[in-house]
Amino acid sequence: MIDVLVVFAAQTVTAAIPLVFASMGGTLSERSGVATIALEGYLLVGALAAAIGALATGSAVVALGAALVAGAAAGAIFAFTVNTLRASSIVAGVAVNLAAAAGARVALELLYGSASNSPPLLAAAARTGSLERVALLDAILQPTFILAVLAALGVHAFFARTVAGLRTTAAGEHPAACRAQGIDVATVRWRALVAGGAVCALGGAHLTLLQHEFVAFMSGGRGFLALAAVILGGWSPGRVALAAIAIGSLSALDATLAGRGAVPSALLHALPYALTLLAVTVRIGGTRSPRALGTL
Amino acid sequence: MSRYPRARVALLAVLASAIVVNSVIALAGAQPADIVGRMLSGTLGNPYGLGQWLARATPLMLTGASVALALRAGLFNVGAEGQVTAGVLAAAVAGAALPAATPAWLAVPAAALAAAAAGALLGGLCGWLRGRFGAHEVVSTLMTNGLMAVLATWLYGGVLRDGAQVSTRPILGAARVPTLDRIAPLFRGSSLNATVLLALAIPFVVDRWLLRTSAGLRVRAVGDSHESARAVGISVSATYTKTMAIAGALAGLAATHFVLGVKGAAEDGLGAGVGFAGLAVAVIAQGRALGLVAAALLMALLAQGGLVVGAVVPADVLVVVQAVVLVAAAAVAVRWHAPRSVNP
Repeated sequence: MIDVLVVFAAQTVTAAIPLVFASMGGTLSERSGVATIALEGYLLVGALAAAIGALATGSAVVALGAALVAGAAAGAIFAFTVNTLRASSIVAGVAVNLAAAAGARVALELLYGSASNSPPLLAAAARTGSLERVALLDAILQPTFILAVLAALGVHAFFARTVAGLRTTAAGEHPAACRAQGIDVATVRWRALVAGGAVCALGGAHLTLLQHEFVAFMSGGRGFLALAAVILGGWSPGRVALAAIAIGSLSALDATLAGRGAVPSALLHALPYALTLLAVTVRIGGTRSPRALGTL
Repeated sequence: MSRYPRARVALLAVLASAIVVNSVIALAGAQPADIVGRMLSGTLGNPYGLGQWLARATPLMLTGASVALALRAGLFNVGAEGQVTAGVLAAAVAGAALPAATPAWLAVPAAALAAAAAGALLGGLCGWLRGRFGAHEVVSTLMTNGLMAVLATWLYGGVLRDGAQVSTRPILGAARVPTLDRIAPLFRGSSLNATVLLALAIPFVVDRWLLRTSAGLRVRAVGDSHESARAVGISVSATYTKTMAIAGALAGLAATHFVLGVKGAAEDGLGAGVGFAGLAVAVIAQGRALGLVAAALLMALLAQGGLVVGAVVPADVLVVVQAVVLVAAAAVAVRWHAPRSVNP
């Protein structure tokens, strides 16, 4: 029994890490008043960049750094589209997801000659002769876990303790009032969206490092699950992180129970979506979205 | 108002896509002119390519019309993806469940109706949640996408699985929509089927309905200003429900192409992507019926063209171009979707 619980806990941590990163990125972006359905694309971009970084250097740190940079770049593209070109954030989000999925496959084909997956990270690291770092890659679960905790604490502190966080919230609640106060709403949103993309992309890096390769479409809908966590958590970082962990535990439960047939796995996978549908319907706990969300 | 005038945005988009395409083609070590030539001759230059191109455009016209209709009521139907999945499921189940003696004139509409009804149910639910509870349709439709994906994987892997096949039990032969090579033998071998005729008609029918009926007027009134619509006695929530139900039905009808036309059965992933592509089609079309057809043809040309040149450059290059075109259209469309200033 203890064994099962330990396995379940480990699997929850593993499944929750990318969701925590993505939902923290989503919280950062959406609190600034821009609906962000691009999380799925950010995850893919981060996963691809991590694979490229790891394959080039064999270093997990470089992989994470590459994901961070690529995510920030994707966030900047999204911000340019929404803020500067004034495109609808929903359309821009769909475009980012579309471009990320297709662009990742183009990059895979050009770099590694296959549109479906990258070479295994292990083999590449072995080729560069750094086997000890491969062991590091293996244990990367710990570093990404710590980073995810830091990301959640950081986003919480940002909104609770800093002026910039307050301005971001204000930009999401009442952009017109912000402008009257002399706050440059566009700049505030630019920063939030770029940071959101970067944080979210770390979740993609986790996926790549965990699976030792990049696979096309490997985000597998986690971006939308993370969006569900943002909504279920009422855009409040602490509660969003809890929601992400809860959603992660559902898929861990599925993995733990696999083959035992106790609960149909479809039910577990459907639960986050159904709960979110319920949450936006009955407004659990009186939470509401940033007021300016959806007007762009 | 955008800092960038329309013409400059459009120019920017053309430049951006040209740079993306050219650099990728160059990276792959090919000649851009050669690639464009191959793409056009492979799609427009021969009957088979032409057939495949039109076949690819067929579901996009339907999902495009779905998203465009919802936009007229001020609603963003990001759920066409899940509505197509629901339609595919329903068409496959209904098509296989029909009694063996059912004549074609009954079997095809029955299966198509099942697909439309499944999409309508899903879309209508989101419209109702929006009208009755204020649940934002972008969130609810994204969640129904997730729900449908989970449900489809579960059903296709379980009860609907046909023995060792990955697909469902084949539908009744009489429920198959004929391929078009009977009328035009030229298209032999391509996936083009009679659904394309329905798909070509739908945007114009929807347009007429919007312009010439009182129900259509209510949809437009709610989209222009839901406060004013409410003030003159239009039930905004009922309009949301009905509009999203019809939008869902249109997306669900895409299953007619996939299940009744092309496959004769359903499987996991059938029709994936056409929902989001439909959103692109609707945004590029900027609310005009002819625009929907043209935008669907453009997106299909890029998708099919990608496959044609796939041997030389990665096929997905042209999907990236689709995304760039989409962003440009959205930026140009700033004014067009302006009525939507409602709070979630």
